Amino acid sequence: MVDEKSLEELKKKALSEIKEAEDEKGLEAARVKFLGRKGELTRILKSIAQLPPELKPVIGRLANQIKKELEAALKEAQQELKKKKESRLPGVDLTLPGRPYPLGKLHPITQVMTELCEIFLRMGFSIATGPEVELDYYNFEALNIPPDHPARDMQATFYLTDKVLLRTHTSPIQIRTMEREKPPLRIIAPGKVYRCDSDVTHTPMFHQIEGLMVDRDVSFADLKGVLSVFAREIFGEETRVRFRPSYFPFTEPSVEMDISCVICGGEGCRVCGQTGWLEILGAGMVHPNVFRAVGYDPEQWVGFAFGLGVERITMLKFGIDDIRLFYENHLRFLEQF
Amino acid sequence: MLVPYNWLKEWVDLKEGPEELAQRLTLTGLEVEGVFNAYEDLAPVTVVRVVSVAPHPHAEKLKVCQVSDGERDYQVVCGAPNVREGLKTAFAPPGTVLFTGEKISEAEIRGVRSEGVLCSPYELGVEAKKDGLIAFSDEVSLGRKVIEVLGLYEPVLEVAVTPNRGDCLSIYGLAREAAAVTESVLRPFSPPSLPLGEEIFAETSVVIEVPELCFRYAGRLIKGVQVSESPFEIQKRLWFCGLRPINNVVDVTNYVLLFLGQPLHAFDFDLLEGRRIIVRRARPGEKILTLDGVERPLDEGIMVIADASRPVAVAGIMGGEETAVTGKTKNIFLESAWFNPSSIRRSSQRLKLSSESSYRFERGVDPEGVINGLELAASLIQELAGGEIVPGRVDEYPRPYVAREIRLSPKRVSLYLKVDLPQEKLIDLLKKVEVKVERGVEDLICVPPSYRHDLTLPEDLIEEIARLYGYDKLPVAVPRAEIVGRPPRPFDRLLRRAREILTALGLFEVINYSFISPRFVSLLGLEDDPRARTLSLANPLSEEQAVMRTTLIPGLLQTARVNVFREVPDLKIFEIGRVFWPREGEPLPEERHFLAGLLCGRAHPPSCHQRPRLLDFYDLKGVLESFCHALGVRGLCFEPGAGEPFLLPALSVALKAGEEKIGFAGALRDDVLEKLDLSGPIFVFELDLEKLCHLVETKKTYQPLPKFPATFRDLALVVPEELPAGDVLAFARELSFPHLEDVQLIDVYRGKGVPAGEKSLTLRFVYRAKDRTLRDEEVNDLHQQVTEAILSRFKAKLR
Ligand SMILES: [Zn+2]
Repeated sequence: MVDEKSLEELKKKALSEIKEAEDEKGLEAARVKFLGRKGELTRILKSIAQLPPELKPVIGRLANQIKKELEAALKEAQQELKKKKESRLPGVDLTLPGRPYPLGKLHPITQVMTELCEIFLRMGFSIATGPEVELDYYNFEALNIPPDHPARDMQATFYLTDKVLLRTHTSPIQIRTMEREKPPLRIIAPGKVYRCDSDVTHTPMFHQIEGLMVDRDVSFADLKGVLSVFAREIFGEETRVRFRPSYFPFTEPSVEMDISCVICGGEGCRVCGQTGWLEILGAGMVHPNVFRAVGYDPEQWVGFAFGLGVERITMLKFGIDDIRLFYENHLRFLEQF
Repeated sequence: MLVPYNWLKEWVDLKEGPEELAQRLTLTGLEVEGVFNAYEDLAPVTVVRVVSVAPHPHAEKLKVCQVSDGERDYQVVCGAPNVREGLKTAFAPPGTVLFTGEKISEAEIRGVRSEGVLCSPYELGVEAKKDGLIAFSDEVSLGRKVIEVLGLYEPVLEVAVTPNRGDCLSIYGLAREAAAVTESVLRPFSPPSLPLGEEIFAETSVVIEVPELCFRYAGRLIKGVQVSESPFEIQKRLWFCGLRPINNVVDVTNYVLLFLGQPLHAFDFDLLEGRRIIVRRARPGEKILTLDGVERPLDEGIMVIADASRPVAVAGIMGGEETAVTGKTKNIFLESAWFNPSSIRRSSQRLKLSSESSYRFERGVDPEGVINGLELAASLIQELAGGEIVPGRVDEYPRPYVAREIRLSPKRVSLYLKVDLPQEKLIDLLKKVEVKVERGVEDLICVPPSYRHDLTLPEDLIEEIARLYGYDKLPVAVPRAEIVGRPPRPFDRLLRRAREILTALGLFEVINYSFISPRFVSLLGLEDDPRARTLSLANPLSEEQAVMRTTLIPGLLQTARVNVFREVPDLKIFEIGRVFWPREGEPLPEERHFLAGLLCGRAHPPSCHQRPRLLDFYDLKGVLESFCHALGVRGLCFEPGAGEPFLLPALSVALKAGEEKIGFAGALRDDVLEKLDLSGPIFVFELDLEKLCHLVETKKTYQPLPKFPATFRDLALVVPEELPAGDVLAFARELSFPHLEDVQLIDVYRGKGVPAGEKSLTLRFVYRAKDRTLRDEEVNDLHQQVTEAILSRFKAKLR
């Protein structure tokens, strides 16, 4: 005979079996055992009809309630199992490194050169180029450095013949551009340059960016302005700049720009020789003789020019202490940038 | 230039100390590279005690001493009379450079090892006493630095004088500059007054044959001198400035050169043939033995000072040995001249000989200072070496100095500097550097001093004004100008894009030197190739960097060696740079931008997910195909066999645009690898980017996306092994059947089911109509026709 007590026991048993089922299969077995066509609860439900009328409503209600509870428990258990299955896949170890998709990198000089050029491009300068094997005329004479001028000592030169050399600076591009184009002008000329020098701070080939601005009303103040903006963009907003008189045959007045040391912030350290300042570029107002050489009227046009060494800036940016590393091209070096 | 601070201070009443002065000079245009102690060379010298003294086994006058610095003992051979046990004295270890210029090294002295030297007061630059060691009192502790014990300190400024400021290559010149940039007063210098008259002309004469090279030549005669050592104070000053004392006459010429910047030369008058001086060009075949002991051939490009028969000095550069002042010299002819700077520079470069004199002449000495130098030197020689100055002086001055007048418009000053300085201020600033200024109607009429060769244009004066006013005080602005910026040129964009794509493909960019070793020709077997024609440097740093590259491959191979030999065997690298091809009849070569790359080692970095494998040709080809695809290159063909002597013909391709070869790609030959000490396979490629640029499709037109589905049919063929798959694929792609949209090669198979000597190719055909879905029967029919076309073209069977 079915009574309330036995029903409660059945429920308890069923719930515990559902709970203990370890997988879908066990769960299904439990469902069949209790709720299947021949399941224990199904059987009871079928037999209600034969119960005495006074028991029918009580037992019937209870049995139906238990059925609902079991169905809910089954559903819950199923979801639980599904969750468990999704959380762990056999053979998958999420701590393994990924499959490599290696990328290459640009040479640090190219990276910094691009960054430098972009700063000036934003200020309205355009890129100009010229040959690396150059005539003495463009490299020296037109830049107000006649033959037998001691300023030639400032740049140890590789010669091919008496009149042909490897350009020692990107300044000849100024001349070539001015010969070709009418003012006003705003150009930068990035490129390789060559000097007969080799040690920890010199390689026989390195990179420069030359800049030139020519207009009717350009002044020393503009030179200071453009170069100060540049220094802060490349080395950070807190960078201080200082301008010192200097000498370049193709500019007058000439100037050298120092920045506050990027290593010590101006306190003084080994890199800046305890001065707190680092020399970063040379510049000046275009010498009238240079304008005359290209047929510009120095009474009408004024300009400023500057030249900076890309290696030096790259070394300061990354703390590199030996310039020769750039041209050894060791991958352990190149992949750091 | 080395400038002893205290010497400078004798001529300008500086309030600034050496460091402050250095800073001030630097900020006004003369960069001071450092301030150091002139005695720094002697820093290694320490206080020692003589522990024992024993006789030298092979030399009577020498002793073998053991000395101690308190930490360890040294053995020193010493010949000083006052050496004795217990003496506290100075010990110079190897590497020290003494006051005498002697550099100490460890030595065997007559069979006995000496680990350094014990020093006299003279050797330490303390006083003139040479015989006997310096002695310290007992309180001085062992091991202390002698320069500290003796307080040897003389601050010296190392000034980097720019080539335009020849006037600053002297103590007095720097004193003048220091006075101009500080609030100090310069002590005027005036030369001593010496006897004038005609007597000298009875004894000698000077003729300038080349007034265009020698603008002024002055001289004095001093008779009956006693050549000996200079007073210690003079020696010390020369030493502070980096010069070596020689004898009282030569030291005076050097002293005056340092002080006034006027180079001088003293001849032994009795050795001048004909007792006269001729300034002329050297004659072909003439030679001179210069003071440095080298015999130098001369030519007409070189100016000399000659006597009646031969050159006795290279003008402005160096005197001759045969007429030099020696201990025997009695009578002296003293020269003070002004030579043409570019002539001196040309001669100096021709002879590869430079000196303190030529350095100053090249940069321009003061034409009006010639006599000052002569008079000061003559009187000093007389003071130090005795003798009589013959009354009168030679002063040939064929091209007298004419002061320049520069008209400076104050308007131009404010245009340049964007600051409105009153005229009084401009005049005031210019007066600081001794520029004489008068007011004109609008302009200032300025006359720079004779020693400032660099002041010739108004802009030069603007620079003086700017630097004396202070660069940092000048205003800062942002340029106002019409916009002239242009977009980047297509080729520059291509270079940038090419770099981006190649790094995305996993290649690292390298930059190699543009000059390479000429041996690359034989390394790559290019003897008969136009690339063997290179430009050579006249003055390379080494044979490894002697010619301009005509191909980028040698540089990449060098990079591969650097990496492979230093633990990086897997490489994927590229370089973009110029190559240099000489052009017939043109002074400048053709410079072309090339792209080259090198791949070697494993295809992937070591990983737990992939079996390691070596790179092969298809990696190389894949990189190039992806590169071209991403760049938008159209019409580049890969033709088997690169025709490059350094590549394996069977594993290389020529990269062609129509009939024109624009590059190559392939594996290096074994003999090339062997010469490089590398093992293969190593793959390289090179492309002419300027030619490739023309193949880049810049105009792209949109193709509508398909509206109806495609149908695929595969075709498996068995073909002879020799038949290149690419031929079949190319043929299939060329077929023009309606609705045939694309063909892909999806499999190449050899082995079971395919007879030996043959291979199976599986092609996948894609059919699609623009306006409807194709029916199966239609596709079958089409595919049947396609199959027949292929079977009739190639010796192929269906599989
Ligand atoms: Zn610092």
